[in-house]
Amino acid sequence: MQRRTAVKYLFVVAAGSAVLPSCLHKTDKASIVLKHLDINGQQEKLLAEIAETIIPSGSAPGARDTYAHLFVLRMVDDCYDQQNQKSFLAGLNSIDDIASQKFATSFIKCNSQQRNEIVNELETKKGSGEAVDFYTMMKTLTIQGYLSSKPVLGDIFKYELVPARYNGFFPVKTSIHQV
Amino acid sequence: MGDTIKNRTFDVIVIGSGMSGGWVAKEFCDKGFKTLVLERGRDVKHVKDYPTTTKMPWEFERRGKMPIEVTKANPVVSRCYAYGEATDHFFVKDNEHPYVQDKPFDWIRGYQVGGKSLLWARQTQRWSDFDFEGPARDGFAVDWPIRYKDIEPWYSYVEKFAGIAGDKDGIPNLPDGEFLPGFPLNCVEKYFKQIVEKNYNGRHVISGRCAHLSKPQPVHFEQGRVQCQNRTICERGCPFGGYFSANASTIPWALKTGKLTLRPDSVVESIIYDENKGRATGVRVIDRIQKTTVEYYAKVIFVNAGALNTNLILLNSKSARFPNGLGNENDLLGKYVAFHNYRVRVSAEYDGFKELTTDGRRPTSGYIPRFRNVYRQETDFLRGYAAGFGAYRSMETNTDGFGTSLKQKLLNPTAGPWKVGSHMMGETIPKITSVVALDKIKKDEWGMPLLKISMDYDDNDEKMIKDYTEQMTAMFERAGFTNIIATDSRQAPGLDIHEMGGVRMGNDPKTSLLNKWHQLHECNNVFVTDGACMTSTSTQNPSLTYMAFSARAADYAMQELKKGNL
Repeated sequence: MQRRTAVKYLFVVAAGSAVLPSCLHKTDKASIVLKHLDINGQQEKLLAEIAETIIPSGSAPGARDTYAHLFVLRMVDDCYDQQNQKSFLAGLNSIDDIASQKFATSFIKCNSQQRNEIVNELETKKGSGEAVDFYTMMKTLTIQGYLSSKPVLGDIFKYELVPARYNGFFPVKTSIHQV
Repeated sequence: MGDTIKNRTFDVIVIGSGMSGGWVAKEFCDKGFKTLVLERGRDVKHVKDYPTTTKMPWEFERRGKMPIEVTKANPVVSRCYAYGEATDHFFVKDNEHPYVQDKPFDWIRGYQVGGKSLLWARQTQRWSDFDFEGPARDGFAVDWPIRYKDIEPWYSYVEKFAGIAGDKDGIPNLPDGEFLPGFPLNCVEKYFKQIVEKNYNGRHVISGRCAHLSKPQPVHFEQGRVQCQNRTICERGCPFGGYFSANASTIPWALKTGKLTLRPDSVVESIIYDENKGRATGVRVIDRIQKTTVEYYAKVIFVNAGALNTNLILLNSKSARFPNGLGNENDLLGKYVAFHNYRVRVSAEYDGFKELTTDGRRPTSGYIPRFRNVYRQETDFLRGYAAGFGAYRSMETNTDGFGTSLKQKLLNPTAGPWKVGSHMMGETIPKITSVVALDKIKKDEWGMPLLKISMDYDDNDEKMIKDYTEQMTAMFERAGFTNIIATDSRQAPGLDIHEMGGVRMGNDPKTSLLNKWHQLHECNNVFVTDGACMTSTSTQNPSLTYMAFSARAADYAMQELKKGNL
């Protein structure tokens, strides 16, 4: 094949893929590159909603606003061993089973009261082993990601990279942050 | 300019660009000597090559943690407290530079211009004669060939240039120096200081003297360094030059003279010894990237490769005259290595000062100078330990529940109790059985024999651990601290990053390698002024002493050069 022809084909193919609507992709990928976890866009969305149920938004940002669920994925993918990654995935996949048993629908389609009910079961360790294991990892990492995010650590707690001072006799002050 | 021998000839060659090598380079360059510094790693330019120095916590995608594949493949470096996502690029990975652990040894290394001076904990306490006279008084190692009076002016000299923050505490076994204002103790540390000093004779709690510019002087501005900003993320490299590193201070200073040639990526294979001249004439270098070999020549050679690598280079410098390594006529090269015993921490809580906390950050903490066996032998173990001491108060959060109630708690943490912690820094006794040697078979990527390391804790260390634990616990109890917990990490030697010796100083060529000017007894134009020269370890963080040794030995070498003796 002539080089010029090949280049022309390439353009056609590229143009074709550009106009294909995204709904035709059967399994969309997670929005961050993962090495070990096979997570699709639906599962990512589910994670975001679980994170948001753990720390909901209000006058202050919630977990979803801080992308805490993506931090969870990054940490489980990079820093957890294979066994923990497996039980994280198994537990994540069991959340919709719980939702369908209790409310005959998926977690995402549950209303906030139903979501709270499901998470409350996990919080009080009533669910299956794998669901509770998943929840424990999910909650710990969600809190870590939330508290160390820019909207929270930077904007609410005013983290200083350059404090330029030290006072070893500083009066304890309590400032109330709105939830 | 062609690649002639003339272009590869200098007045002095310095092997290593870190804490001590940087000082040697600065001293020679200041006096107009043509100086070559060889660094095995890459170049790291001040500020420009500190890629993480201005990053916010949330800009680290794992918030500082390394991926599990990395920690599994690099168990040694992963145990170092300063290693992580923010500093990965400044640490040697286990598999890049293997070594042989005859006994477990965590060898923490930084192969780059500046070496570990970028990464150090910046504590700078002087030695006194209670330290230098230790071996002679207590009958171990050999007598140091120098005393405090020999090194005292050089401590002052390097302190003024490096910038040391500290208080004049008037403690005989921890001499005061040329201090910038000390960083203050906080309320709980001050309280503990009062309790200890009231109840124990000869025990002190002071602000740890540290290489930070608390109040920079003209000589620091001249280096391009400004006041320490209390960021306490020093190991990323400091854009303010707030702490002393070779990168911020000695190396750029030496470069400014126009007398310094800095050659990174230069793995020194050996020092060349000329049988006829009876002296070293240069060094053989393997280019780290090209793997080609090139020789450089000089009248004087300083070996500042970092304690154990200095041993490696000398051991590998074999000739007909010195078949077991340069200057190694007595077969003691590589022997009597030692380290600091950092195994135990004691932590506790304090119920007082509820209305107070701390604000901002501080690059040092409290320090308890050695109080055991200072004036006379009083315990069933030799020597003693210094200790770090610090108090802090964290904000605490109850993470029960979920939803709005959890969020309420997360966003409104409460001040927890004051926590206090101490860690020991014990002197270990150099022994003939503590050895580094060349592995007979294994070689690295550059054809250098791997270093085989063999040192361990002994009975004296175990007794010292017990005493530190008891004494610190008793002092904490006396102060009314509660929940006192002692933890023995059982960490391997090496993780203290204070490995020393192997090329020890002494008066007698039969029992030591270096004389009182840091010259090899058997090859007097080769000097060693890094940790390898240490006859004993005492308890102080050693870098300040290496700096003073380096400036003093360089001064002597220059005088001898001028007299035509070298």
